[in-house]
Amino acid sequence: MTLSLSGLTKEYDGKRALNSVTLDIPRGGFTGIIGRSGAGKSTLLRLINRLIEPTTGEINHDGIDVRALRGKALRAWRADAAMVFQQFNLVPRLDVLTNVLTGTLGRRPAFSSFLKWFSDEERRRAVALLERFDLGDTWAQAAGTLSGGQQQRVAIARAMMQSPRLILADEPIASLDVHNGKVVMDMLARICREDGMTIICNLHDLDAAMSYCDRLIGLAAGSVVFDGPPAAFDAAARRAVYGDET
Amino acid sequence: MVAGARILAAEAAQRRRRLLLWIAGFGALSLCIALAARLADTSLARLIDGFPHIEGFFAQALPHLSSEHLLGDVRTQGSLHYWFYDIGKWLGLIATSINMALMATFLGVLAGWPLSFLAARNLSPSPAVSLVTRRLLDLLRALPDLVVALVLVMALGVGPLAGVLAIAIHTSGALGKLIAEANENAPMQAREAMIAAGAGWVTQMRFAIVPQTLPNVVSYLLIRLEINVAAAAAIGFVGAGGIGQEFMAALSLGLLPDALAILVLIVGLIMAIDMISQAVRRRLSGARA
Repeated sequence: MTLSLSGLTKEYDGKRALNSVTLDIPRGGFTGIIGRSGAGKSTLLRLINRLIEPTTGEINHDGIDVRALRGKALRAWRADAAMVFQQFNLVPRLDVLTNVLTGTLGRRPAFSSFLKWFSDEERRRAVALLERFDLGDTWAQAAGTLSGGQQQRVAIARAMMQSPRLILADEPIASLDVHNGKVVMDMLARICREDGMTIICNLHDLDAAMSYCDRLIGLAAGSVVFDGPPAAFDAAARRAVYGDET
Repeated sequence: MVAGARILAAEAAQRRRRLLLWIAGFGALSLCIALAARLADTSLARLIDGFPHIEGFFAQALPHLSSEHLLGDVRTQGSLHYWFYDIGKWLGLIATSINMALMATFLGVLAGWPLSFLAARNLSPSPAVSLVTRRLLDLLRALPDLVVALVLVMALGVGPLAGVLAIAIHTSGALGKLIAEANENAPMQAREAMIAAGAGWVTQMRFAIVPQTLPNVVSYLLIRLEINVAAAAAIGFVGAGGIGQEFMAALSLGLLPDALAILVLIVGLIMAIDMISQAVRRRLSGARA
């Protein structure tokens, strides 16, 4: 057992974005979170990383109360729970290698980071990650000059640079064309398989969710309405998650 | 991993190059400063030698206040009122200086804002127009307002009009340049849609650029107003009206306590304007969030 959420609720101005979500997510799986836009998918991932704070509920990881973390321990948790964003969220004017190296910032002292004093070991790891995902040739380019698919792969390399325990991917392929979407999903699947990484991935593309995930969690209006393997996602489940029109 | 080693070597070489550039740049800058100090015949010793003279000025200018008469009337020697005996006139002149600053800022933005659209490289109707407008803004900005005021005082006579025009000229150049930069950086997608819809150049600017840059423009305007209040207080030194003219008169008549009193009022004025403008800016940015 690694990540366990219980009664997780988030309200914005009295309006419930997430309604008492209770889930156990074991180590090493590829979990897809599906649902219509506004169902609470992004809210759920951001709560886990603690980019936002829950209204009530608990987040537990390997026996650690994530909600109680402060300061350095909180920064370490954020490094553990690496985020991948829909719009990549790279620094467009910084080169690819430095963008990947920013993945270490959660675990480094501020002073040497400020002066860009990364260690040889960190540089070696960053270059190895770029090489592993066929991005080696781009190391010196400004990240903003890459194609969307390349940028998302650099963003995933940055996430891996964090030495995370899990990767939270928030609609990683929603801004990409079909081909680049497949390349990025293959990369996440490969990390899941080869590194035993836990992946939790928001997807509005049901086909991608069905073919890549080993478990689907359906959200509707902030509540979990489906939880099971893709094979169990039948017409009734589809109606529960997406409503009647699909 | 052969390719990886090659990347690491190239990256290390790049870092060495950048470090050398930094060191060279820093060395050159230090050399320039040392040379400039030499040429201008400036040294720390001169600065230290000069200090007693400043003290001498204050010794003559400081009023003789006495604690028991501090709140006495204008005829009581040693009272604050005795020191600020002409406070009514001075506050009136402060108001004149504020009005000068407001008027100059208004005239400056009236000229500078329209020019900023012609100057913006990606918005200008033609590269030639952009180039000419840019040089015009440079010229307006480069003319020191004190020099312009001196010329205008000779042409228009002593008084606030010369000061207002001089500050307005400088303001139009400075604001025009700043707003032009903001215009250039505004997202262009909305403008593309307006072009596609058949809108003309002026309406494109009005609906695609102005709404996006307005918060920046307001912020620049307020900062400029702060600067202009200080400029309006100073520009009277050359006879261009406001409180500065009174300060200069007091200095030249040797009424040093008067001059110091006016200086205190000017410093207070600039601090007050600073705080007001900061509060307005904070409210504006809060309203946008």
